[in-house]
Amino acid sequence: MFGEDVLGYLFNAVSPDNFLAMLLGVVIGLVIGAIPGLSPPMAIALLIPVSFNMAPDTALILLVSCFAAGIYGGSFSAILLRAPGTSASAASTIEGYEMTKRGKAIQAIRISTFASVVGGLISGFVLLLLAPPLAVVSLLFGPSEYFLVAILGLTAIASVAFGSVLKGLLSGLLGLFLSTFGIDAYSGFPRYTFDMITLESGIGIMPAIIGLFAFAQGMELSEGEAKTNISGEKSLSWNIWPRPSEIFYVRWSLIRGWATGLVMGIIPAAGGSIAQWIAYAWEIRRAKPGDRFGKGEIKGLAATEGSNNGVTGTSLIPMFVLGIPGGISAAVILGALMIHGLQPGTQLFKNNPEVVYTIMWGFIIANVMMGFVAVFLARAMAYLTLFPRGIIGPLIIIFSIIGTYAGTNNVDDVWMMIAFGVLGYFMVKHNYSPAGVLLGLILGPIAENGLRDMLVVSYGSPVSFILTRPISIAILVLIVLALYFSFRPKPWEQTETEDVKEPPRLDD
Amino acid sequence: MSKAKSMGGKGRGGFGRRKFLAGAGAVAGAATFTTAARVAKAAKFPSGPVQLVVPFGTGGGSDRAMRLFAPYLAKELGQPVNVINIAGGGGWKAWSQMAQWDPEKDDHIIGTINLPHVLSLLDPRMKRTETLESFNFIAWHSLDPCIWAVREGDERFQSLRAFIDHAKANPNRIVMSTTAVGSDDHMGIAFAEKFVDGFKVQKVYANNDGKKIQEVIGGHTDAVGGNVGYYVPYMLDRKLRAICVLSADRSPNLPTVPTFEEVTGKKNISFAGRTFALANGIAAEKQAVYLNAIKTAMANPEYALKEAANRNPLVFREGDELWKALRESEKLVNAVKFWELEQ
Repeated sequence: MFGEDVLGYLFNAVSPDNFLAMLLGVVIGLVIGAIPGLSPPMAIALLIPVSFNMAPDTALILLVSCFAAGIYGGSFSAILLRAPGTSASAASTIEGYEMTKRGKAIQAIRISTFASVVGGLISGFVLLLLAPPLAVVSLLFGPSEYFLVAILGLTAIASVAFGSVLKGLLSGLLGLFLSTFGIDAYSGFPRYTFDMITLESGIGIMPAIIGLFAFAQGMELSEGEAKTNISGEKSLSWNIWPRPSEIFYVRWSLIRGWATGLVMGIIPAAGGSIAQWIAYAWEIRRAKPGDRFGKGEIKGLAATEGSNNGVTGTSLIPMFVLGIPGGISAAVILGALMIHGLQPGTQLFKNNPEVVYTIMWGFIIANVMMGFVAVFLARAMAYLTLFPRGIIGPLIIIFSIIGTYAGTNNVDDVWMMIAFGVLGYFMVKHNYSPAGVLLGLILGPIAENGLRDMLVVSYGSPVSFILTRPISIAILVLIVLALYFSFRPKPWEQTETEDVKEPPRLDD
Repeated sequence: MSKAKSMGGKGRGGFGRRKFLAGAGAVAGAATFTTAARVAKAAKFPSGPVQLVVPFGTGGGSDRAMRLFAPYLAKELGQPVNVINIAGGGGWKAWSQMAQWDPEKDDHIIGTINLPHVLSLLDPRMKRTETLESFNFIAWHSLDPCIWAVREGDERFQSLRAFIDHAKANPNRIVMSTTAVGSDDHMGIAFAEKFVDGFKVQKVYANNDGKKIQEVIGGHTDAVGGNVGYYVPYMLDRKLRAICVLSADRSPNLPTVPTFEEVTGKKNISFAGRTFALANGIAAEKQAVYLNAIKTAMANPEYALKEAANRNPLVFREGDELWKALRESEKLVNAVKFWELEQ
């Protein structure tokens, strides 16, 4: 089924038009992705009118390039400023920013670039070569699988709590509680809305991420010595090419991250914002004596960065093969396909193989290009870490407010973001886990709807229902393993009790 | 202009006659200038960029349709049209603002209002103060009738009649995927449950069509409530098969699929619609400018072709015809009272 003809479309993908579209998509994706509040779907939606008058393959290459680069661009601000540009890069703030604080910003950027580019490439090749069979797998995910995947994601809370499991779980519970706000899907009843219209659609993920991470970070930087900078360095050594020894050191973390991303991408609606946490928690559970998780462990960063770009290619599989968009970005790309008269589905592969395979090759090449363009952009951004805290702190606060408003056009969301910011600031001070709140908020609705849908489709007998479904059982086993590895005694941690008691972010 | 006036005032008090005259001249000049500007403004409306408010987030169906429409509307208005997403509260963040728009200040902004979503104002639990009259609807834009579909190859449901009989024979064993309570898809199912004796199904709710389609194609649910435009592609791809259309007449896209009424005798009509609204009390000539622009832009064959590819059926309505359709929707929602059904 796949052979020389697939390879032949590679040359279409690098025609001058397609190449320029790719470059435009990559640059716009990187910039918009790096700005908290402006998300990849927004960048893609804004590019759709631009793409109207292009040939279908060129237009779609523009959009998928923007998608891949947007997910990666979000990592710059996450690593360098602890202000994640997208929801898929929130987990990278933990190890990435700690590395920046220890003067290792460049190392963090180059590992992130390697993990993202190679992750995107692998994901792109899986998309190119295995899309039709994997689409069948994505159909197997039903209510019980969604519910269990959400539970698996929630087990990550115990791992990312760093030291205080109780405080981590409390943070997760707060997130879960906040996720119940809004209109109940099953009855249409407004829950905890206090007659406020904004709360009817629930608490937005975006104001929460910007608040908990970026705004809180702006507050933290605004206190203390105004003239010191984030990295404590005076200049940046600039070496973007990863060393073989570095890659060798994180090889298994990369592979686990990529694998997590590829699998989570195939599941419609799971995506990067969940994959990164599952990959990260996996790393922490496999921690060895001497690893510095929570304090700038490069293995953790390799896994989160590998997973969020590992998602990108495979998340397009259900969209191309079945016409089922796995997320908002894929939905926008689906809309663009249709506007260009291309109907996704098995017919698309039969009738317009030149378009499909050209787009897929374009996606693969865009991932390589992304690495090169990133060298310039990341370098420019990395200089921000040399700026005095007194300038960077307020700047982050201003950008958080502008970004939230630009993203929602809703002042209430700006207030919500600020409330999360103040919450996040004090949580870090008292060793609670902002990541736990975020996980609860993201996974709460998936778990709740999955559970209620499962109760309906199983006619009220969920347990026997789960036991008849192989994928459900597999996820159940993963959950049990995850819990075991999270709570098993770790002898080496006893010696580090003093370090652990300190809030990890205040240790310098 | 106020600056020029205060200059003049100063001149009279402290700087003598010449300065006063100069100041007065400035006032007069400014006055002439603004009058000229006013005349020009009246001659050319709209005088600047126009905002097109989408009550849902970037990337949704409404957003896509309006981003597609904006360039054509801009061409007719002679001004740029910027799509603004004001998301939240299932559309109500934007709609509650629209009801309060000022006819003078908010004369460069067009709102889009979705049906039947806006009729959630009838749900007493939501405590809305708005009614349909709170909005200055000016034109209907698109109307996509609801359909019910099953998996291609599902032998149990060869027709709507077979589907209903099966549901009656197996109470609470048929599961349908639908969009949230109060949506067009839910309204169609709720109507059937209320008015077709003995028909009762279980429902699984989604906030997007991707989830619904995955559920029914993947065999997790038995049937799905959706819209003609969005679902026809899946039928062409032989993944889904429509068993009925919830409209007065058969859909030209699905000529062999019967209406719900043909099979059951019950007039079950449900659709997803989009309309345009302006500020209440906006000057009649301004409203006419917008209405003409919308009408001409929608008639642009190039635009119609793009919307056909996007499978969004355009339906232009204005004036009495528009309000008649709004009233019918309102009547239907009041008859179904979906908020009493799902407890």
